[in-house]
Amino acid sequence: MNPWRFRYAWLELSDHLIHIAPGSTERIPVSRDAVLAALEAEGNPYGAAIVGSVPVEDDGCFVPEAVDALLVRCHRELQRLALELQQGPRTRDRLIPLIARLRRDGRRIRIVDVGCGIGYVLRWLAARGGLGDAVELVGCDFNAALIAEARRLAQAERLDVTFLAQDAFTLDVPADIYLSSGVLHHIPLDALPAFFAAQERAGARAWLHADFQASPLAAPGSWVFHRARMREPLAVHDGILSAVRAHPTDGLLAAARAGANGARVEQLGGPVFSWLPMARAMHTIAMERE
Amino acid sequence: MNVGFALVGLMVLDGAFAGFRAVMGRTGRVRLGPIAVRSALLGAGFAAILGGCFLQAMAMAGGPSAALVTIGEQLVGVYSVYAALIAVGFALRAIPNVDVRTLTSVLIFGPLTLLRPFVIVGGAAWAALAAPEPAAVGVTALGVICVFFVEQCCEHWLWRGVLHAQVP
Ligand SMILES: C[S@@+](CC[C@H](N)C(=O)[O-])C[C@H]1O[C@@H](n2cnc3c(N)ncnc32)[C@H](O)[C@@H]1O
Repeated sequence: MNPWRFRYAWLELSDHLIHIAPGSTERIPVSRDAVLAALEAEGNPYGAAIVGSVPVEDDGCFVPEAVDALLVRCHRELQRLALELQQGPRTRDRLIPLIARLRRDGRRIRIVDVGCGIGYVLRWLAARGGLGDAVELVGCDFNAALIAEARRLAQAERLDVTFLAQDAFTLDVPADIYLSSGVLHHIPLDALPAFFAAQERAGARAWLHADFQASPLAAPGSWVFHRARMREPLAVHDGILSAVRAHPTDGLLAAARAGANGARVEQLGGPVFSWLPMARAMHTIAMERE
Repeated sequence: MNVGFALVGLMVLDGAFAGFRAVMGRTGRVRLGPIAVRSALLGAGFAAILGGCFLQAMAMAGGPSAALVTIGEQLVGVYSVYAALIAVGFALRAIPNVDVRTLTSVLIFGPLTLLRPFVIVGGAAWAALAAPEPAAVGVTALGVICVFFVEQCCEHWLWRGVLHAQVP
């Protein structure tokens, strides 16, 4: 897979394979022919072979269990990215001062990870974050299979995290802090204000949304990482594409301002060194109500 | 024979890393410690057995030829540079700073893992040029195959055959 051929306009294969009824967690059957046609229309030369190997039912729709198993395998591999990019410690380091500020009244702080997948960041925080009883950790994702795996993994390691199947746009979990990692690029830029606004409606006092940072090195860097670390071709494909699909920082900041209704908005984690034109692989769009 | 021991040492180290890689991205666990250590030890052990057999076979065949020793010395030189770069990566990773740790993955561990097969084969080809005697080159090629064999066994068999059942 040539990283320079990937396009911002392509959809990740995981988004092609999973269709969820808006505002719910109900799966809609997905026809392989429709996905192949969409990939051809995008001009994506890599997706067809990968999607073509996913089993289908007699009616030509993907077997949901096969898609779920594939996505769970990919998310376990994806966990390596979070591990190597230090997503756990980074999130903890950002949360500690934030929690101290928000917790002046001594109340317990609820943190919700939106689009948590199999919940690595929250499980890491519960296992190693040292946040103690001051926080309650809740993960949401609209993919029920990933939520089931997140619950299984948390139980296996006796970690105190709750996981709920929920759509980010109709979020029904009040919380003080909403965070996410690797989710923003899955949502079109013009839909992001509604994504942030759903958290605002649910009572957000602060937001920490981490995602890949758009930069000329993002695609080749992501290619090196995913070729070296991932086994599933879908994980390699989507990993490279997720870096290419990273939204421009200006667009993210504008969407955050539009959705977060007067909260202070800033970008955390720009370039590694101010004198070097090399962006961090991931940055965070942070918002906080004064 | 010292060259042989050095090469088997490097092979054992490579086997340990192959064992470690075999569990990464498969368990979904946050606390990887015990299973990763077990996997690395199994990879190293397998490489040690295979390397030991190699040395034993060599000794029984009357010891390595002068050409093979020359190739072996070149190999130790090439592979030690690679091992030293990995060691630098680990030294930097000991610094408790998330950006430095990320950079070790992005600039050292990731690219070096991707380059590993090319370093192994390219290093062997370059070393063989130092003493291109057919028997010595053949033994070198067999050694290279053993290194890849250990990795493939770890990747395809260690997890499914041994460790999977230990991580419910
Ligand atoms: C690249 S994954 C990131 C998963 C996880 N945060 C991580 O860092 O490993 C993106 C996740 O966002 C979830 N997602 C995308 N759109 C969503 C929505 N509208 N509501 C809830 N989850 C969503 C997907 O199901 C997927 O698990």
